[in-house]
Amino acid sequence: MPRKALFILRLAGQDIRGNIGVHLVGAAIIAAAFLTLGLFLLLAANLQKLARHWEEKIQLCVYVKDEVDDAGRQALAKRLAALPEVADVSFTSREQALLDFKLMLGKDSGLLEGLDDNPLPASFTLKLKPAAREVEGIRMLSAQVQAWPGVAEVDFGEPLLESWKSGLGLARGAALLVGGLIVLAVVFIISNTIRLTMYSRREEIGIMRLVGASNLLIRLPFILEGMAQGGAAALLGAGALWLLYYAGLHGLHWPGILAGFTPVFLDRDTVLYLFAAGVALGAAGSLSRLREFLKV
Amino acid sequence: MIELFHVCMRYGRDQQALTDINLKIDKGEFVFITGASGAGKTTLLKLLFAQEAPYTGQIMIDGKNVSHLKSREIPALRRRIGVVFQDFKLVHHWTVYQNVAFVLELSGMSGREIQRRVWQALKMVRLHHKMESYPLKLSGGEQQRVAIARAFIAEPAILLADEPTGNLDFDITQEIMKLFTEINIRGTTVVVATHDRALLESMSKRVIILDQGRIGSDGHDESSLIRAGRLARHGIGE
Repeated sequence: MPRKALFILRLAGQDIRGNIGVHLVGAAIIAAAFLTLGLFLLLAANLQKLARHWEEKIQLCVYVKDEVDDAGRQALAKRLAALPEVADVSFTSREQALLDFKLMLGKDSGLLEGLDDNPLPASFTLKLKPAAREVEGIRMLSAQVQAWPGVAEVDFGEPLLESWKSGLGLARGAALLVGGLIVLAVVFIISNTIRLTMYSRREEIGIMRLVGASNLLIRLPFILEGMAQGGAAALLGAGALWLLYYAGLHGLHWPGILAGFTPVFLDRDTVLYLFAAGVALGAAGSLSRLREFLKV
Repeated sequence: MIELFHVCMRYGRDQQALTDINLKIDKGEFVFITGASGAGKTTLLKLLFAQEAPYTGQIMIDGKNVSHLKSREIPALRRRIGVVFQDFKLVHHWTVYQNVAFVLELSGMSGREIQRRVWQALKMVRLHHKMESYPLKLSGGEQQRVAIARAFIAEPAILLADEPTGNLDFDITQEIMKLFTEINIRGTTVVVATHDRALLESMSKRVIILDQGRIGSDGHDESSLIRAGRLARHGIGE
């Protein structure tokens, strides 16, 4: 490595050691800002996963007319499976439907004792491919299947699905808005923290300039320090976030509508992006503030 | 070596700091610049190492016009001029060694050569035993000697000192003046700004007196009696 590069690295190292207090306070503030951003990203990632989890449960129920015989039912099953939107077809006979209903009623299943005949129809349950889970597409598919011979009715819980989709749209809009505000606030906090760090060093920068150091030679160690501080703070923030996640969310299983959903941590790419953002903001913050101290 | 032609300097619109300064300092000279507070001594030095640019007029150093240098041209000029400030201007979290060596690192000199030269320079100012100390652990006189070592270590053609003994007692002042004289004997042009009358009277050097931003008088090879009278006339050190 050329001697000058070594000198610049050494200068950055000795400045970090010499100003360790300022650097630590700065890094802690920046880490707190990254923790806030990380908490939001964690929430967003888990909401996204929850949305996918629920979307997988979207299905069409195709009720079969009672007069359809076995051959007709098999033909219908083949026709349904051939639909491009359909990922999986399963059949529930009238008897199975009654059994399921009884199980669902539990201790109230005695209500069904007085029935002379099974009133429940046989049905096909269609699971849809991810791309076919939009309300409009499901409605068209439902109308298409409804017109087929042997089909009594198609149900996909339209009112529930519509309110879920519009709720999801609202949540995504709000997340985008809040996320944007958090990113702005984080950038503001980080750039100001670095500005304060630099402000505490203005005398030193002035001295370097007065004894003949070029602007580039003054800038490089400070940029390296800013990058180290920003990167370390981002990793510190991500580490604190992981501890919070591990203590509060990891391996948690919820009952009710959240049943089957397991919270996740940020993926590796997002953590790498946070680190890169810390490094870039550190460099940019140092560079922008340096300019005014170099006018000596 | 140093030439100023009709140099005027002002801060803002109203504050005239220097007016029509014409001055020539030859290579190897030792010159004092004196004057009452606000006479323009510090401004004149700042013009010489391009910390300020003149409002009008030209400044030549070694035949090169340095009146209006671009920001990127200034470091090269400053590496040829050593400067000693009244407030020392040492980086507090660097050791004495690191403060002095910094100037040589800028030139890309080898590590071994830097070590040798820093040791010699600190030995000359009698601080070689405090190489690893930090400036704030040193006395004012010691800090100023570190600043002097930093100013001459790169063997500059010119050494400027702005009130280098301003905060120091008589014995240390004499010691520092002895150092400047040694540096001057080695061929460096030395320009010292001071308002210390006792110091000016004790050394038989050229004394330029600034009076309200103008050159009040300039004396070469004058007797100490004449110099004392001249200083008294301009109210220096009263």
